[in-house]
Amino acid sequence: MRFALPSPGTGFAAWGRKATATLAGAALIAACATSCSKGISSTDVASPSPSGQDISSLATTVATSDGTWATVAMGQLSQPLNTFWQLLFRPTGATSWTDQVKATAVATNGGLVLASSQGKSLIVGVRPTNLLTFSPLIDTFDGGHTWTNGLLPYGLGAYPSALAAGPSGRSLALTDAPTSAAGQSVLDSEHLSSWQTLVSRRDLAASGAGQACSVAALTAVAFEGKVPAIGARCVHSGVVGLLAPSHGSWRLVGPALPESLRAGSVSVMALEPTSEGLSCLLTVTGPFGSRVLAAWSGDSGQTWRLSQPIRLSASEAVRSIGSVGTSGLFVLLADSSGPARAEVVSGQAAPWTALPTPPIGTETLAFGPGTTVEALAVSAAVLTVWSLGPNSSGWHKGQVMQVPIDYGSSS
Amino acid sequence: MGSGLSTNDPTIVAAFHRALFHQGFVIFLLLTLVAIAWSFLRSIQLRRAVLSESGASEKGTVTGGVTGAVAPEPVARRLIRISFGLIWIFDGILQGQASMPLGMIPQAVQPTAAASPTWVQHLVNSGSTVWTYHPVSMAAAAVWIQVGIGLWLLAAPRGNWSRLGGVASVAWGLAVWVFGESFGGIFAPGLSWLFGAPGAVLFYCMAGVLIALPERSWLQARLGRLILAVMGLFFVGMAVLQAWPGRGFWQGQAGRAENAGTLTSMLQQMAQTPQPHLASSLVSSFSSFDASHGWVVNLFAVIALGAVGAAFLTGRPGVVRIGVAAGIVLCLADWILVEDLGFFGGVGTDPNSMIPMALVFAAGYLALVRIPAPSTEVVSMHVADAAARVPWRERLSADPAYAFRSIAALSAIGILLVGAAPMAFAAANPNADPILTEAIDGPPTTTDMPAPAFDLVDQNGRQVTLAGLRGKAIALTFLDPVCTSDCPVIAQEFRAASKLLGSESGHVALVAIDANPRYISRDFLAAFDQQEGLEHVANWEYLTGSLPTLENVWRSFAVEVAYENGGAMIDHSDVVYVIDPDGHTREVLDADPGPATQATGSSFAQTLANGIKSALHSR
Repeated sequence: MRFALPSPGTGFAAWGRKATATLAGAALIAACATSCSKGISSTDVASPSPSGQDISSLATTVATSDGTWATVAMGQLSQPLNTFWQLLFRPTGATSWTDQVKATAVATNGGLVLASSQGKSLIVGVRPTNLLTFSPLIDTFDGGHTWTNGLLPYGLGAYPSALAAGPSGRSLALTDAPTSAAGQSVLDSEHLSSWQTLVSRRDLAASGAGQACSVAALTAVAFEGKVPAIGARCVHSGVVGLLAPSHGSWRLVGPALPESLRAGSVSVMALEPTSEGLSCLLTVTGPFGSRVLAAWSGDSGQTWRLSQPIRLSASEAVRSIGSVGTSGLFVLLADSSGPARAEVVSGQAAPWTALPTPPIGTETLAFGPGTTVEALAVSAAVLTVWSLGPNSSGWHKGQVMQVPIDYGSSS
Repeated sequence: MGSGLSTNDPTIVAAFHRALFHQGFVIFLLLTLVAIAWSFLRSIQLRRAVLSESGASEKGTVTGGVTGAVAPEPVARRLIRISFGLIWIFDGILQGQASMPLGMIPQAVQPTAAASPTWVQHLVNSGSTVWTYHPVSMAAAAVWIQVGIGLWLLAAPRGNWSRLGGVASVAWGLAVWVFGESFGGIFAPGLSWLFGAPGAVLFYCMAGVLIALPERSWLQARLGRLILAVMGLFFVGMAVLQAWPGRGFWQGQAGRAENAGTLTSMLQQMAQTPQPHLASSLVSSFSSFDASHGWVVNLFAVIALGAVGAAFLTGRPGVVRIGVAAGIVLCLADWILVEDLGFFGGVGTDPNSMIPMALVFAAGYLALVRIPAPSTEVVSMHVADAAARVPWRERLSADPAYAFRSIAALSAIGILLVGAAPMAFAAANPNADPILTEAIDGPPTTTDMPAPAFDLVDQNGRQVTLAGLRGKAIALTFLDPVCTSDCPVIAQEFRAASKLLGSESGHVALVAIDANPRYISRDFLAAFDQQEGLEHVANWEYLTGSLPTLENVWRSFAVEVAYENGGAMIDHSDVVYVIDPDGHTREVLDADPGPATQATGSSFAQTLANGIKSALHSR
């Protein structure tokens, strides 16, 4: 077998071939660079998450005639399906808490919303999670000895005041999941079943009052007497989004903000019925930073009394809120390192009182009976109850409860 | 996408090995038949040869002359054919790893697809779904297809059979490049020659194209120049890409603290994968070197790629030779230090791109410099023309070389079909293999016992009893209406099973009994039905009753129901009873959905449908 070696390229034809090859090469390189530019370019910069005006947790306490109820998240809090909300109860006259969450008979990964009708009963709404899309409800009139249940056909909203219990068994529920193109809605029922839509966010936003507020989201529901009240987060500055029904439509019934805060946008964090009427907790965010203030009304919103505003630092967020006594409110603030401070206002015209810095892991506070103040602190599956000493001298460790969390059961 | 099962699930691995054994036995039988056929053919050929020696046949003489005068296969073609034949066989053997059925998609396919654009992911997912649904069939098929192609290339050195082997190599290579390599990752960020761009199997396709070319293409230097030009442009393009700033390759200077560069990060990951200590220590050492001298490493890579590419583009044999030598060294270095030999750790499917790439440009060089002499070319063409005029039946009996090539190629095709046929059936079956369910829940328990009676009401308030369902096959389970995980999945599996039954679903009742002692009102059943889209499924019954009645039913079906602490949902048995039209329980299935993926759901639906059909026809 002989092999013939190719003769070197000569002449114009050879030059043409080389030139063609070079041009083709240049074109290919350019095409390579262009087509790969998508892979070359830097990855998209993640858009910063918007700062929230809403409360960061559903942890709260509710006082009833039978005792105090609380809900806190426990477990592996970085994993949603291994976070389980507990339902804790301290009967009147007792000094220790028990875990009653078994009564819900459903996975509590989504959170619990508590409501009480004038302290006589407790309603617990279970927020859906994973493949569940509706919210079971349970209620008790005897401190958890017996329970009846109800069904909210949609998901309950992630707000501490998403449930309200009114007189004669009437209830309000703020739903989170879109029930239709209308989005969030407030539903109304007589006995925790047969819910009817009272108003949707879309319809509320389209009303005159809603336009004056420019409703961004619905955030709270309550009854003032027999009249429903709906709290909202407004886009328009200086407007408090508290709405009540009026002649087939809705009207703004919230307080007027002090001049210094009118440049801020307002969110209604919570609505709490009082012995005189209604109280609300507001966050105001503007060029001046963030403020929290309380307001009380006893005449369906015609007049209001406002507390002094609490100034929040840039790193603080509202961690837990709740009622104190018949007309007081508390606010637990936290930053990235944990609970930062707790403020209590006992009622109208009272100043905010700062409690000693709560212990690490404090998720909520419980007040009463009398001057008792307890901090419920959580570390994974361990609940520690701290009591505030006399004259607010400091926190003293009390009950420690190990909750048997069934990790992986919701997966 | 993925079944969600553990890669080394023993049920799947055992089924995979069984499939390989059975298919291997079929291949053994096939080869035995082929050997018998070859023996028969040889006896005919010998008889003819004896007759032709006594001057009985002119055609035999012509054919014998044809054989003696045919030129040997061009060296470049032979290199490509034999080396890629061996690589395909090696890849086929790698496909026989125990973790292939369940590990291929999540460990080999998905990582590349995940970094690619959405349209690539959709395309890859369509293929991944078939694999995930039929892991055993697909994994076994891949073994035999690749072994078959490899043997085809080796056994058929010349002629149309060999060219057809090249075409088969291209076809399968393209399928792997698209569905297995997500187009070699060319649409994903971080594309680099160092990591194997543009995908190893694309070079298999190139080799297949070259083998499929008419043999006369190899008789001129033009083919060699073309191969080298393509490879030259490729190397230069890769050099430009490697030099591009902002891609993390220019990082790593001694004495400067900065984040690990792209190459260092990849090397650190590669060093962690399970492999022999020597290999991991080499990669680890190079990773450390790159961490502090990454800038120099990248500069070297850019210059080396550019130089090799430029050498190829010159077309001058002397320069190309140097380029080939340098390219081979560069490829080997990358293969060892960066690609980690390609098949270590995790689910290695091939030796990666460096070896095939080096073979292609080496063949290009050989095609440039080692071509047959002109006189031999003319003779070969005359001989080929003469051979083509002889009917193939005559050639088979008279030309031993042609006969061997044909039979060997047909054997290889047979092996390929042993793999391709099950793969085609699997691709045409939209339902997942029941083997996935068996891996999670074990096989169904067969029985023949009267089913416990029940008297309950359905979600619409109608009374439903076991006796009232006589004449229908029943699939009965226990579902918690406020369950957040398993029960909705099981409900959907029931729904899917009903669809699989087609017209027979009219003779089937899908029955669920409430398994939550707190929420027993019909409102909750209706809410669950609405949540799962079951309210319009005609043969769906969700039953409840008073708490004592339900507790009795749970007990009679041996279903445990318990409140749980800590905020967990009600704990209850996940079980399905398949009851025949006469009221006898025929099968009991564990209904644990496991990872509850699309594949496992489809598999359980198929398993359930099979059980229902069996119960329906058991009378």
